[in-house]
Amino acid sequence: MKKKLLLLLMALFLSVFAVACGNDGSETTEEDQNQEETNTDGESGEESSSITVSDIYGEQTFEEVPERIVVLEWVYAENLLALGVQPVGMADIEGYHSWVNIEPELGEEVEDVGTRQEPNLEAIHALEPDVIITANSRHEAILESLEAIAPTLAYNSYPEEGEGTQYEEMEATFKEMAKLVQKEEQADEILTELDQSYQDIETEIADAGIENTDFVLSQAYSSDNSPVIRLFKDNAMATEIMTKIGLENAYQSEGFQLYGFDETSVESLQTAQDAHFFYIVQEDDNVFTDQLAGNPAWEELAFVKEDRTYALPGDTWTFGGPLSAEVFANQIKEALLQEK
Amino acid sequence: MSKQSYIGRTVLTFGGGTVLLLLLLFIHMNQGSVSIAPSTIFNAIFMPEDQLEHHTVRYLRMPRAIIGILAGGALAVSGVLLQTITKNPLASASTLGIHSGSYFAVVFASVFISAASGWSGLLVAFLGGMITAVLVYTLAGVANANPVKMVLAGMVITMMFSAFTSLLQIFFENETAGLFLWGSGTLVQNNWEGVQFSLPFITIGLIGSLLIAKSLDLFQLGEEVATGLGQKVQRTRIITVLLAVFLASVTVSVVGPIGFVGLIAPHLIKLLGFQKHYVVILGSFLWGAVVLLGADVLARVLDPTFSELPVGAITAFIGAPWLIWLIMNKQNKKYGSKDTGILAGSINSLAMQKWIIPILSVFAISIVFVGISTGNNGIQLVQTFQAIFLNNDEFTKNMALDLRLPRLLVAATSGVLLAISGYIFQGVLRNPLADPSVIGITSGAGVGALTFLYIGSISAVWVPLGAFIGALIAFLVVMLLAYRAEFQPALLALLGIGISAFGSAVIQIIVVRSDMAVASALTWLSGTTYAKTWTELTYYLVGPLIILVPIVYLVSDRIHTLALGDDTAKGLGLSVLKTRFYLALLASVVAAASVATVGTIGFVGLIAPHVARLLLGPAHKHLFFTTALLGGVILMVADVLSRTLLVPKEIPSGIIVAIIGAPYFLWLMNRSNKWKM
Repeated sequence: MKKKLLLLLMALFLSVFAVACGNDGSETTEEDQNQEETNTDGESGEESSSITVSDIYGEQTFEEVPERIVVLEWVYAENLLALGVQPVGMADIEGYHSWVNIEPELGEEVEDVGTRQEPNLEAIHALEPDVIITANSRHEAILESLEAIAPTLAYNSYPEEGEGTQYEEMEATFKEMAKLVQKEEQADEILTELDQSYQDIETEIADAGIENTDFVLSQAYSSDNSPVIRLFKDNAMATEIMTKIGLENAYQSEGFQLYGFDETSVESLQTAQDAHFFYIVQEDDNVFTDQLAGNPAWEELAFVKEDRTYALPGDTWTFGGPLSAEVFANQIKEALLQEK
Repeated sequence: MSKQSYIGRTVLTFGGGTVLLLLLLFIHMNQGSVSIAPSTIFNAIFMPEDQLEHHTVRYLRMPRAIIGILAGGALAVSGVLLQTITKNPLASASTLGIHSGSYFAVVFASVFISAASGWSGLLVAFLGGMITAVLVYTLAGVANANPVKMVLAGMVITMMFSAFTSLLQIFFENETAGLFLWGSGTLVQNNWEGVQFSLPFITIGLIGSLLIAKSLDLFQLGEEVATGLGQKVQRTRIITVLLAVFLASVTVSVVGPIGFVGLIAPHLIKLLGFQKHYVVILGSFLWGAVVLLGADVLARVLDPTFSELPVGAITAFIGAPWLIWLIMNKQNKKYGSKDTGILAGSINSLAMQKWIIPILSVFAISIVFVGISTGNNGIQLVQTFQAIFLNNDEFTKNMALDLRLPRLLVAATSGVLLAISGYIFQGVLRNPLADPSVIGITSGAGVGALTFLYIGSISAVWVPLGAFIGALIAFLVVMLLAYRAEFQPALLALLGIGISAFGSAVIQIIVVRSDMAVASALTWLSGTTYAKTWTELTYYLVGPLIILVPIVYLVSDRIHTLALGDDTAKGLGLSVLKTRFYLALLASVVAAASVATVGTIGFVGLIAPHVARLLLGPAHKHLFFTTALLGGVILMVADVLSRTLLVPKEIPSGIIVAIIGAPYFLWLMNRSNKWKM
């Protein structure tokens, strides 16, 4: 018994040790540190005035433009990329690539700092960030720990009922972040261009002679072979973008949903049959061509019979920033115009 | 029972059941996001036309209703078979862990092998279910399978597989996104495929069950009688278990794990006085269908937006109180002896005993050292200590002292508190299986925390308070029931299972009903030492550690006295009930402090006292310290592993403890087949 116990203890100890040694990262930190030193040396003294940025908790002041930024939610990384700034670290990079599709790519050298839900504090600390940007809903509980590492800005992409729309919030946060990296002009330009492209798209759609402007937007995935269908409500950012290009949301339902969609069944589609039906599905999980094909309750819907359904690519991100918004608006346009 | 009243009952059971089923079917068909007139529904069924309303009824609503009837029936029959063959009134596919095994197998397959559905899904589910059944059966001791032990083994296996499943869900958030709802069981169907797929299998299962009904009647008379009457008992047993697992896995592969139907329906039939398996099986099928369809109707009444509320949560919500009632009602009858003096443990060599505390202390200290210098960048013992003591590297020093050390200390303290709580419970209730999670206190804390988050929708900072209140309420309920059950150890364990199941159902309902990100709730529920700081340590843990632990130590004499048995304790002049209540309250407060900080981490409180007794013997004076040390060490090791195994991803420590702890506990149980339970 004694032997067994000792063996067990030793095995445990060894496994901890082995695991720890397995991640041989000590050299990289040193490198990072050296890099960091040269970086700050080069930049020091350029900025003199301080920057004041607000997040959902109030105002924070930065003495100089933060160089090393860690983002813990995709949309904020996207905002940075739009402004031509690469973060030094981000959460769940792999997931980002399969769900989000925007032009400036995330740099190869950006470090993964773990899952979006429980980002690795040590990895963040090791990057020695000047600022951390995160979503309040995910990280309220660890805000204190993040602030111990670096000044932290927390935003909330999903305003409560009556507290403004998701779209307004997106614009506001984008501008705040632009203020942080001192690229406010660029941000305004991007937003103006975005509004311009909405107008252009609206004209194109109108010119193409598409008269029916009603739409339903859905995101769907299968759960054990049966489709789960999300239908976007008026408060969703995606629906607001579609409204901006002159379309109208035909799906109406009671109640407020924070994230902007109802999770519902095929039956609800009947309420908006005369609209154009846009759906986002992952390529290998197209519930509409897989599970629902041949089902009369789907096939007999007016928009299916009259061929008004449009598949959007799987990496259409409806919860993103201005770049995702533009990509999304263009995808809708292309889908509509292709038919003509 | 007179013949006339038997006929009366039969008419009532089957006639009444059928009428009720038809009524529920009618209500069910009327529920949906589009309102369709009852006359249209009638026409759609009997005079279908090619129009959308009729299609909606025929292709969306009817399949859902029918699958509900089939699944409910199959689960009930599976429950009947399992109850008879294990001679265990509490057996069912969910209480024996078969569901969780099947479900884990399906999730595993869908992550690693690609979408498992239809045939392959059934095969995977069946394999998972069979493995679990064999495991439970072996662990509970085939020959003298004690009902309580069997259900307990089922519960531990469920905890283990749930830990594995959560692990997959945390790392493959997007791949398994759709599986969460299904994991609680849902009847959503979008065509007849599910029905077409399962109908033949369920029919085969049902017919098979009816064919062996006679053998089961014999089996119930006792194995010797059955053998005497020329039955091959072993063969009957194997066929029955195969059929039961088959029926359960068909339903898991189509609608996900739905608990408690297999428990409620057979008992309803037996309560009505039916004995013959032919009738019991048919009646259970009918009433199983009624229960499940009724639960689905209720789920959609509760959630009128038709965002799906998992029907499995509803059956647990109704079923768990039923389980508790069943246990209370049958107390003294079937669950074995009242007194179990099994705070056993073989006493090892005396030399060993002397060294236990020094060895553990050294180990604990070295874990702290290793833990402080281990993290994202591997192990850096020397650098770290140079940084701390010579102050030559501010960065490493901060990392060690602000990130790793508080986490380690939170883990250590929580571990100590949980272990002590388990130590008190096991002694005071004279129950080797008592620990804050087994008797339902942790699940109460979970409900409290989520209720605060959801209904109060207040800041996450207040979650610990919610957990604390939830734990205390759960404690009072457990004590009230336990008092009525005269604190019988086996009953208490079963009551705990019932209360845990009820708590989990409430948690599921809250998680689905609220807008909260499901993943974040899941992470918290699985227990985590993630990102714990000095604040948590000082706010929630230091106080209890300084105030409560010494108190526990001071009263540990009374714990030992109570452990000797009520009569002895009374003889020694102790007011047994009062002492027991206050000690248990103390244990709950101790546990609640830990749960409030790190969420629901199971097994530590269960295992630490066991290991201590294994090392020192049942009544050693160092038991208290050894238990506390062990608890701290277990959770610290889990913490170190949780942040180093898969950098930069974190694994919740609770899951690590479950993955290490469950097999250990099962081994312990297997060993204890030699002991009396």
